[in-house]
Formats: sequence, C-alpha cells, structure tokens
Amino acid sequence: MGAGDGGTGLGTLTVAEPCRLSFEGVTKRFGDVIAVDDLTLEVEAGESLVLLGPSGCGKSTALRIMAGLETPTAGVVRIGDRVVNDVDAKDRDVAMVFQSYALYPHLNVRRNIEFPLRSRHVPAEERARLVTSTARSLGLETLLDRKPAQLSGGQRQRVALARAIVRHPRAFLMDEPLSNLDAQLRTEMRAELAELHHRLGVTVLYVTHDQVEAMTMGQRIAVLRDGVLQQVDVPRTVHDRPANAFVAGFIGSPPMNILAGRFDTADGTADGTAEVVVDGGSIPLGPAATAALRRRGLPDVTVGVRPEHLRADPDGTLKVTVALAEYLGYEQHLGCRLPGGGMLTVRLTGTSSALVLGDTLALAVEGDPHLFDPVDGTRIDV
Amino acid sequence: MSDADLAPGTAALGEVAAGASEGAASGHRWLGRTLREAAVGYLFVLPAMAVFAVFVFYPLLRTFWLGLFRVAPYPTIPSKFVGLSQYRSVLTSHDFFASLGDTVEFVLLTVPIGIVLGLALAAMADARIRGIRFFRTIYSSTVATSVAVVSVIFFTLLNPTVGLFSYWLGIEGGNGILQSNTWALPAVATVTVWQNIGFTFILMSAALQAIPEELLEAARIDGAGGRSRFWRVTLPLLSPTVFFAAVVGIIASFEAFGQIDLLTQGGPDNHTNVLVYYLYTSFQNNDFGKASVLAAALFVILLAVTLVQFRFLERRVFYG
Repeated sequence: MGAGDGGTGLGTLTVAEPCRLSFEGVTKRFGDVIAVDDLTLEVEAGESLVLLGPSGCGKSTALRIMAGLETPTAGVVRIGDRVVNDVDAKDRDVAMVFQSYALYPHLNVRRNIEFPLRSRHVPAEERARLVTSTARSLGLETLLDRKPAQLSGGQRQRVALARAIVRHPRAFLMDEPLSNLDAQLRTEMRAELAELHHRLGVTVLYVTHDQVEAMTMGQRIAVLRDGVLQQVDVPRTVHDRPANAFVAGFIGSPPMNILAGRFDTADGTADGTAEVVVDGGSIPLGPAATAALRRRGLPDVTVGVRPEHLRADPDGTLKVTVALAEYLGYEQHLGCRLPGGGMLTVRLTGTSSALVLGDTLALAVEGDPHLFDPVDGTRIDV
Repeated sequence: MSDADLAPGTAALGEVAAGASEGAASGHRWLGRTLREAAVGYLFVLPAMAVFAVFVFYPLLRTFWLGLFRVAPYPTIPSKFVGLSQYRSVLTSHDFFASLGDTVEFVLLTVPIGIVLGLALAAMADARIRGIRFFRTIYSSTVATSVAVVSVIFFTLLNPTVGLFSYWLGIEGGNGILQSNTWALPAVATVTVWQNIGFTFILMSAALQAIPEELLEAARIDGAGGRSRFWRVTLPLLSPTVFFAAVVGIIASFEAFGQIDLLTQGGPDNHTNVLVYYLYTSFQNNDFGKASVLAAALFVILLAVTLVQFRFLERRVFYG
C-alpha cells in the first residue's frame, strides 16, 4: 500500500483498509429543490465507481454528502459498516480532490501535501518520509518548495492528488478533478489516475459529467438525472444496454440518435421480422425485437440508433440530406437532416467517398436498434 | 566612412553611409522621446506634488525648523534661536516620557483588542443564518458615527452622578471613572475601540468573504477542526488585512485626539495626556517651539514604528 516506493510500515499513521461506501435511501433537499432523490448506491471496497450526469443532476451533492460537507435530509450514509450521518467531515477519514484543487495558496507544495498529516499529529520525521515518497511517486520532488501559484494546472492537480494519497485514507472522493485541464493533459491524467487506482487498490467515488472519463475511469458507472439514479453497471453494459433513453442519449460520443417510431403490431413477414416506421423511412427489426414489440402490443415506440451503426448504403432504408460534415481524420461525423426536420448523426470510419453538403443519402442500420418506451423512456427488453 | 559620406563614390557606399547616419539620428530621437515622455510624466505628477509640497513637505520641514526656536511667553517678544537645546530639554523631560508612556499604553490598549474584537465579530457575522444582515449593519454602524457623538454618549454614560455605567458598576455618586487616575486611560481606550470597531469589522468581513469556501472544506476533509482551520487557513489568508489594520490602527491611535479632548482633556492629573494632546496644550499655551519639537518627535516615532512593522511583521504576511 506504499505510495509508489513500496514503502512498508507507516509507523503511527494507521493505514485504513479500503472500505465500502454506501448511500441508503439518501435524499437531499435545498428548499424546494430536490438535489438527490432517494439514492441507494454502494461502492464496493477497492472499487472505482463513477457518478455520471449532466450538470445539476445532483452528483456533486451526493459526493459532498459522502464527504460530510452536506447533511442528507433523509437516508443513511455509511463508510465501511459505520453510519456516518452524524460524523463530522474531519473525522470521516476520506480524502477529496476538488475541481478547483483547493490547494492552500499560502503554503508551499510540501506543506500542502503534509497538511492532513499535521492534522493527525503525525511526527515530523514520518511526515517528511511520507511527503517525500508521495511526491516522488507523482513526480513532484523538484516542486516541493514552490507555492501553488507557481505551478501549472497539471502540477496543481498532482499536488491535490498527493495531498489525498499521502494520508492513506479509507476512500477517495473526486469531484470533476480533470475538468480544469486542457484536453491533452486531461487524457494523460486520466490514464495516470486509472493506473494509480490500480496500483493503490483504493475505493474511489468519482464525479464527472464527461462520459469518456466515466467509461475509462469507472469499473462501474452510476448515471444520475435530476437527483434520480438511472442505471448502475459496468461501462460496457451501460453503453450496450442502456436502461432508458436518457442513459442511451448521454453515453457514447457522438450521442445516440433517438427517434420517434411507429410499429404496426399486425405487420410482419413470414420469418418473423418487421420494421419500425420513422421519419425518413424505416428501421428493420430482427425476429426477437419484433416478437418483443408484438408482445408489448403498442404502436408507439422510441428507437435509438448509435451513430456508428449507420452506414451509407444505396439499398438503405432511411433517406436523409447531408447538412453537416465533420472530418476528424480517423473518422467522419455527418449531421443528416430528416425530411421532418430532425437530425441524425452518422459516424463513418475509414475512407469514404467525398460527400457534398445537400447530397441525399440512403442509410442502412446495422443490427437491431435500441427500443424504449416513449412514455417513461425505459428500455424494452428484447 | 567619412570619405564616403562626403563624396559618395558608389551607390552602395552611399547607402551604407545613409544607414549609419540614420542610426545615429534614431539614437537621438530615442533619447529625445524618452526625455519628452519623462517631462510629460512629471507634468502629470506636478499638481499632486504641488499640493503635497504646500500642505505636507513644507509644514513638516517648518516644524523641524521651528523646534530650533524658543518662543517667549509674550507675543510681543521675538523668538530666540536656541539650536538643538530645546529638542534636548523637551525630549528628556519627565513630562515627555510620561506622555509617551500614556501614548504607548493607549496604543496597546486599543489596537490589538480592536483587531481581535473586529475579527471575532466578523467571524461570527460570517455565519449564514437568517437575519445576519441586521447584525452586520449594527456591527459596522460605528463607522458612520463621529468621534464627537461617540464621546458625548460615553461622557454621559460614564458620568459619576447620572451615568448608567456608574450605576451598573455601583459607583454612582462617588469618583467617576474618567476622574480616576487608574481607569481614565482604559476608559478612553474602550471608547476608541468601540468607535473603531465598525471599520475593523468591515475590513475583516470583506477579507473573510474573499476566502474561497472550498479551502475551508478541503481543510475539514484534511482533518482540521474549527480552531485548526482558523489558525492554519483563515488567519494566514487574512494576514494582509490584519497587517493593514495594525499599521493603520497604530497610526490612528498615536494620533487620537477628539475623544481625549472631549472626555478628559488629558486629565486627571495628566493620566491621559498622550503625545498629541501634550502637543496641543503646548500649542494652546503659545509654546510653538515645544509643540514643534513634540510634533517632530511624534512624526519620527510613527515613521520608525511603521518601518519596523513593514520590516518584521510583513514577513509573516501572505499576499495571495
């Protein structure tokens, strides 16, 4: 559990075993606003779980409740087996990395990193040893005497991490820690954080609105919307089998196309396949999807198609007009206008023929589309 | 080169010469422009300098000069140049040291207590509770109260026969607080602290609100309790404001006059006779020479104290 140097025994600093974090029916109200609505969620010991959602969805509030910076209106919060509702933040023994890093501007890097150790009255000698080894593991040795104002964004981020790691807390809480970094640095730090988690084996609750970050950092992802938990699962399942249309639209880049469709329950061919009629044409369904919609027996259905499952095909069943083309080198994103005015995003990989804006195009859908209930958005299982 | 300059044989040589003379000319132009810019700059500073010269520098020098003359007790008799002997006699007199002692005591009673109280009030009023604006207004209200009004209020409260304070302390009818050799100076200091608290409160409140909430949250998560957060995060970040309040407060306390004139007139038995008041009474007695020596001494003391503060205290200040 040593920070990088494989350091053994940490002397008087008790090294907490990574532990479980749980929300049990947690609700938080600010006046009339419900920020978190009856959240029940568990982060396993040693697991990295990402709370994902758009801004204002309550993910940061949930994190702050776990940190002890907010008091839940209702529900039980546990760290390990201990109920911590009435435990002050300073006594919870969890570390937090803030979006703004929240480094103490009047203290140099060394003093920033050792701040939590001083709070715990760790002897000077051991403090020095822990600060040195942590700084080394994050490449901060040469910056120890600098003030935060003299550091770059990436370096500040590292100091914030070092301050969290140095005390070997029971869990890490991270509030959009990468969102103040530029794109390249963010990609680097993302990999570094994932590696760090792997190396330290600690429990991490990570908040972000960036679905790429969520997919790469989380062993599991919890998607939140308006304070309500939508789905918790491993990234692959959240991506491939989104629980509802909101999750489907939020995960994936570019996001999934969501279309209103109509299904004729009496329709169908001998081999048990059918199609859903949408604006601009139709989308074919395999036998299982057809059977599921027949069982459901309702004509209206919401259809989701990922941009990568659309391809240009002269025999395609969707007729669109090319309205926007973004060439990214390794792939191309097309914004296609449907006759009814809606837009459809298409992701084309490899070399494809030059497209001219205004061209009409036929698109084929690969595989079954995602099907959702148009009223509550829940997935229709096939 | 000068040959070429005089008789350009070829076009190329001529060009070189032209280039050289152009370089010299641009050098002159550069110097000229710098001088012109400097002149314009000084022109802008001039009005302010003129005002300072007339109202600050000249009186200052004149004060030091006047200290060299002994003024006769009657206006008709001319002043007499006595050199530094008047400086020596005044600044070694028992009265001067007594007055300096009172002044230092007054400063020590007002400045630290004022800053601590102002900071404490600001910290309390920083709480996010309903109706706190009411208290903020009350706490800062003394800023809008003149020293004369404050003095009259306290003069009444401290009155030995009808004053509320005398009644509460159970000493009504006896010797008044302002008439007590022991309590007159602390009483005047208390009035001064009360009068200044609004200003300190506003300063400290503004500084407190400028501290990012996240830093205190981070400190909490890093295991720091309330007191620890204050000493390790809040106070260091407030240090520029505390330093400013100390420098300004010390100068103001050294120069306090109104409350002393209205409450005690330096009494009883010279126990509130701070330097400014001593200077004032000397001036009232037409002893301009002595008053000038005292004024010069006050200036030098304040300058020294302020320099010492910048030299030693400012090292502990963190400017964000």
